[in-house]
Amino acid sequence: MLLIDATLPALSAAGLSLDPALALKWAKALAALGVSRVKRPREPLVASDALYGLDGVFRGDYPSLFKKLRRLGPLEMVFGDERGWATALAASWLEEGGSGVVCSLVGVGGLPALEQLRLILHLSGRMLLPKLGRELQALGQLFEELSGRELDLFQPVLGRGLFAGEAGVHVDSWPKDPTLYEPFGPEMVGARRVLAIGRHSGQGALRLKCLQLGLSCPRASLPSLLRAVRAKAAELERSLTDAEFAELTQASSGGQASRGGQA
Amino acid sequence: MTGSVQLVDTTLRDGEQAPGLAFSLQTRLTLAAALDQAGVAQLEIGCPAMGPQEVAGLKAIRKVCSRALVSTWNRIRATDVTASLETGAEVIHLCLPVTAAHLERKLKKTWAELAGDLTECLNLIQAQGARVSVGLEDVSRATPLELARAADLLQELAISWVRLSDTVGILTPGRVRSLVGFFVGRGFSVEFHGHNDLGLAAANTLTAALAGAARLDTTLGGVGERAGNCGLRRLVALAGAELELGVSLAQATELEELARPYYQARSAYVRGLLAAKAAGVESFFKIASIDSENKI
Repeated sequence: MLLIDATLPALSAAGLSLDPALALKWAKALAALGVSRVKRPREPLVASDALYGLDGVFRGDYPSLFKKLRRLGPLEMVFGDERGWATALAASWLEEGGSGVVCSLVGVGGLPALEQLRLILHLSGRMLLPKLGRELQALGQLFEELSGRELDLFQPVLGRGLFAGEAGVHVDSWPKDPTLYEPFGPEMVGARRVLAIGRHSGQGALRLKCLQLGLSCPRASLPSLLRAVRAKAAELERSLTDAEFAELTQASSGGQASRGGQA
Repeated sequence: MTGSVQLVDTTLRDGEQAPGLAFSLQTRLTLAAALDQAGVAQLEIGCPAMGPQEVAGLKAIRKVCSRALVSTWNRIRATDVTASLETGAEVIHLCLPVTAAHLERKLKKTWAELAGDLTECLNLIQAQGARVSVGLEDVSRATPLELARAADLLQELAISWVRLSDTVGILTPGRVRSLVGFFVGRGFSVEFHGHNDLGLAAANTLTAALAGAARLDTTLGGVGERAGNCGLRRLVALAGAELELGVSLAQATELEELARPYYQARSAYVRGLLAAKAAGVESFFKIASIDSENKI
């Protein structure tokens, strides 16, 4: 058993009253991700025979320590997050062949972050995720329901905004090979790519946005449109909405840009 | 762990590339001056290849930095380097993709062609007396042969300052130790550039210092593409008193407060984008690709 989920006891310990039906859905959602040991809401966060308090070892020779600990047999390993590196230590423990890591979604309760460890296990080939799956996204949504807390837009693995793209070099890679600048595809975590247009866009991104919005824009207009986009984004101190972009596109093509056509 | 390493803040380059985020020139001047005054050793201020107006802005930013080294980010292209030299930056950073995927699918160049381009860029930089750092892009997905090939080329060209870029944020502390150890062992002065896709950017960055890295890249609040970069405050807090980074926790907190309103605007913008009913962008990849190939 590589991962042991303690999200429910961590939320209970924070004083939340958990809906039993949602808690059951939680256990099922985790099973779909290969996490078979899910602690119940009233279960102790840390088992009496667990090893915990290891969050201070990061600066030392923890690989040697881990080697000795593994000889003790199967254990519940609890890396605390007091110093902010619980997930890193848990990842190292797993990487060196360890198992039994007690974790929780987004590290609630001061534990390693389950979703991050799950991705690490996938990327290392030790426990693969389905290529096309909404399991992680469903887990994130369920967590929001259980905790009453919205996940950060750019939360590693689960953030809904992770696959927004703007910078020229990165958006340019999308049609060529999106994996050049993505560690995993949005489909794996139930997310989607969205295209922002702003100060760091390149001409290829403008072209892609025109196609997406059904705007025609002659290639010759792209350099002036790019200058206008950059100036507008710097003035607004944010990227442009689709409506703002369409307006600039119209202006830079002398009013010839129209929806529904391609140049 | 004791000692000191230098911080390289890239909020104005890699940070501002975060989708939705944009700073006015005035804001960039304010942030650069604040980072400089706080004691950050180096600021990566932008990409001069964006055009003459950007070069003018970067020149102005360069002037408000009285203590920090200033660097600019460049592709391995003579035009990029020429624009960078105009800004007055002391360090010209060159981004060198090292994996077959980046060479074949992005640059469509061979390693030998890229090495030739790198030599041309170095000649331009050396003629102006600027310093050079080379960033190994996608180094975390490189094969041992690709790593050795990159190290050999840099040594052949007498480049000693190398940035290891975990471009897609997949490194773990164990892999950081061996990667940094490899380049330190070959005699390079190593800079580490982490991304936070697995939530490990700060721990990986600290690990890089423990393994011998001399410079660590950060952004204010960890802003950057996808899940972001290594956050300045987070790193300072993790490092504690035993590793001198030149910036105190109180200073890092103040600096991040300066950037916060822009990040809030960015989040609101991305929320709007996700809520919009525009067609999925993937549907247009094929057409965009054909357009690009044929210069339609």
